[in-house]
Amino acid sequence: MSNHLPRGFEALEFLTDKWLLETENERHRTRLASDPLELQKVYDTLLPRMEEICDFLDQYPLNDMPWAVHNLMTLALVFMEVSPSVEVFGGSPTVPFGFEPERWIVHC
Amino acid sequence: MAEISVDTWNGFIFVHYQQQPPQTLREFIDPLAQDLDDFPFADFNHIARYSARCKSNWKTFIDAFHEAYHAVFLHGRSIPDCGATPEYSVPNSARVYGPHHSVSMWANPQHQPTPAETIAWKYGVSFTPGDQNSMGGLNPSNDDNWWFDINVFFPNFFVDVGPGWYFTYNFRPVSENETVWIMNIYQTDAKTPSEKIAQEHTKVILRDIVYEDLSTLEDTQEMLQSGVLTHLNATFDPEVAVRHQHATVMEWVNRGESA
Repeated sequence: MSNHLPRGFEALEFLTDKWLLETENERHRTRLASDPLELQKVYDTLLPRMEEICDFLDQYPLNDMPWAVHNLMTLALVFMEVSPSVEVFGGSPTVPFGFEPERWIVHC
Repeated sequence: MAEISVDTWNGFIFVHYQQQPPQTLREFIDPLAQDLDDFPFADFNHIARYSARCKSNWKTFIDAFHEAYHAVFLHGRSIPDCGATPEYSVPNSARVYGPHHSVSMWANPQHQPTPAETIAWKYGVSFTPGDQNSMGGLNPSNDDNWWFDINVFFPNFFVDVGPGWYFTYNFRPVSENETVWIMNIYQTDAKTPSEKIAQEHTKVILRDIVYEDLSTLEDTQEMLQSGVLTHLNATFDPEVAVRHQHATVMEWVNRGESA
């Protein structure tokens, strides 16, 4: 397994295959195309590490991070993207009874 | 090509289709604009834009966004403790300013944050109710349990402001039964990575809540177009903004060309 993340975060390495996604649109489309069990796995893996991740990242300037640190930041954003699915939508990747995602444009 | 007039307020560009409008932009948008004069718009960055084309009349679209009690039903999933608290259905306060109005939302003091929300509030600010900072231009009626303000500039522009974020809606009629809707979200400059992560929570939960808002519009339009119902009541207090919008539209339409 290659090292995409800073030392100490090896347990999260398996997430980098699919989730190193730079834009909200990419993260959102990937959530919509994932199954509930996978979203639960992403959430359960990241939740207990989130405070540690935030504190670690705060050692670096927001706009000038080493590559691996930036990747860890991206996974923290992924946590926020999947959190509504797991926390309030019963695992659903889409918003239950919501507007059709195919007609909803995420511009950024 | 015909010339039109433009003017700006806090970076927003307003268009008037007359070359010599009968009043200035500021004259038109006061005193609603005065309520927002102390809000630090210049400190905010644009962080998200969403849009959709919906088979709904623009007024029907707007009505879905400026009354409050739909949250009890429509957002019972995304913000679960709305449904358990009837007070949520009634806005804290509302203000009518000529053709414009604003409504302040009630925040449930017993709101139970999710784990992701708890992280967001530890490192920054989220959309959901929590500790508030002392940003100016908010809560014009000094309500207790204040959440955020819905500011509606007649006819079709919203600026909803909260502590550390604001978002706008533009409703652009395409025809009598189709509208293009655009939402923009703005947040103050994140100074640290963790603050940026907290801001992501605001953006994501707000986006998913608004997916719920857009879900009802085409059914409402279809129902209205069927003509089966000849009248709809909007006499419930939380619908004050709906009543004001419709009264203003009727007044302007009946004024005709001279408006």
